Amino acid sequence: MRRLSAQDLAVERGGRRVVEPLSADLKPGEITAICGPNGAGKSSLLMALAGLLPPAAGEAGLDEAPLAALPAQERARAIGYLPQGSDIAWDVSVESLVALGRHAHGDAGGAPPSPGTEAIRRALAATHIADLSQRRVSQLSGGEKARALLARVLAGEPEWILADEPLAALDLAHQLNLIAHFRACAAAGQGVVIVLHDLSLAMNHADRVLVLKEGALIADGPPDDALSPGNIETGWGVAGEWIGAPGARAFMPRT
Amino acid sequence: MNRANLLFAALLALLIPLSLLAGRVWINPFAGSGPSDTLILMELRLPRAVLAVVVGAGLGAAGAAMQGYLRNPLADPGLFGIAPTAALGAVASFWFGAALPPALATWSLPAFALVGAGLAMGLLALIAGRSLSDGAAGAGGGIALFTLAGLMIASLAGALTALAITLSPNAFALSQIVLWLNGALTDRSWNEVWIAAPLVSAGLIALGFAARSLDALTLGEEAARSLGVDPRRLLWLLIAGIGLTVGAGVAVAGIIGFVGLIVPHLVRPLTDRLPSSLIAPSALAGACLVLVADSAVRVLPLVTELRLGIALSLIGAPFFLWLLLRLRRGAL
Repeated sequence: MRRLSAQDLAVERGGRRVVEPLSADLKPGEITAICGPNGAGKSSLLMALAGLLPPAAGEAGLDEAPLAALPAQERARAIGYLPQGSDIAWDVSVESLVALGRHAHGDAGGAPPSPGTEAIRRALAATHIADLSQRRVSQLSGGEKARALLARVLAGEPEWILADEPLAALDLAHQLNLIAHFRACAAAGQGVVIVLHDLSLAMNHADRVLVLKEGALIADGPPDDALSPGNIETGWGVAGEWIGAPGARAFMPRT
Repeated sequence: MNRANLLFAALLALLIPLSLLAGRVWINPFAGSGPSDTLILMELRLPRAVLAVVVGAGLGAAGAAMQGYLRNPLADPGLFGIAPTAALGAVASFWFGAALPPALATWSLPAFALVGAGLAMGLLALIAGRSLSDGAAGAGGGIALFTLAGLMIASLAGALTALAITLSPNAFALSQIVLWLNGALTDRSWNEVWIAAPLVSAGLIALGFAARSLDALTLGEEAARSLGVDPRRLLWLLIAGIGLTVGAGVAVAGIIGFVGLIVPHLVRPLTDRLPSSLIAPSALAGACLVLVADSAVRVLPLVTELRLGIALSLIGAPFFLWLLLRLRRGAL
């Protein structure tokens, strides 16, 4: 598995600098969370790491290869990107939706034991929606839809999974369920990078946290360090403290 | 071959012979055919039926592709502005065609219309190059921007057409223009078939190449790019595909609306709903619809034949309204 890295990476959108030059070397097998207040440049950073936004300066790369220089198909096979929201234009079946994840492989169809159909079957099984495969997406609950969209990414068997606030619209149980799926991916050696709003989820489930504020990287490290009360006060302007035991902690703002 | 393809292919196979028999002169297939029957069949009805199939197939497929591209069931291939620009070219031929030698005059209308469609395609490609170089930089909204540009081309061509009509050199030319603008397949010959069939076929092939990228677009622009879709290649394929199918259709039949809008709706529930599964059956269903409508205007007991374009709009507009109401209830 290749490492995903940013070297002095800066991002501009609409002529405005949204991510200041930053460097980070992400490791496969870990869950890396990108946290920060609204407008901090989290999504832009994620898209640049996915090769979907060209760097304004520096570069994002897989091992030594800059993403901008990779052919689109190869980049698509290496990096799966899950955008924010669950926007599905047509009322397709879950199976068709997940098969879209094989787009860059071009092998979604064919007789069942093909590599493509096997990958789709595994993705459906890994997200526990195999029994929903013939269901139309309009008939899915929010949690089921989130899992189907994740299965779409898994079906491409990418080295890296980059997800933008995948937990945002989910209730607590589904959040934990989806986090467990991400953990399983990391355990299987895939790299996982997720933008997270919920600091407690980041604290309890991430291996590493990048904290952005106004486009600048203000902390990078294990959650205990990166999400220290001091950093939270710097980043979000909220004073408080972590309560609870390790692995089940919650941030309590001081009122 | 999914069931929607089979269904509409079978329907088309059934409709073509029926359409050949129907008309002002009904032909009884079981009676011995006189020489006039053979003439009517081979030189009037067959080219007309083939042309209906070709034009309808192009419009149906273009509609399916357009809805897939805009991710919107209310999109119409007219949004690219190809048809009005081709019509403008045709109207120009009413102005300049008279100056041409008679040998060229028969070809001047379709040729001018194709030049018009080609100009629109060139302009769209130019805009695509610019809007997408920003789009690739993540400015977003590339598709919306591009569509608005197409709408502007359409309204500019419409205004110029209106201008050409008001400045029309004589009353006869005026009535010819107005009549032609409401598309029809009356009195078409094999000449028109030879013009339209290769161009529409090429357009259908281009749309076929765009199909899988359109599928990926189901997940949105960013997700599609992350799946390896090249937005620029997709747009060029669509400009070529929609430009050729719609442009060639206008060149031989005038403006025929609503087919590209209605047909994908009729077909979609029978498919997997992904654009790639929709394009081929929409082509077949579009061919059926235009063939039926053209046969119907032929047999309606009116003094003059009802124009095909008007007939389809008469069916299409209420259908569209019904669709809007259904959409409001969230039933789509």
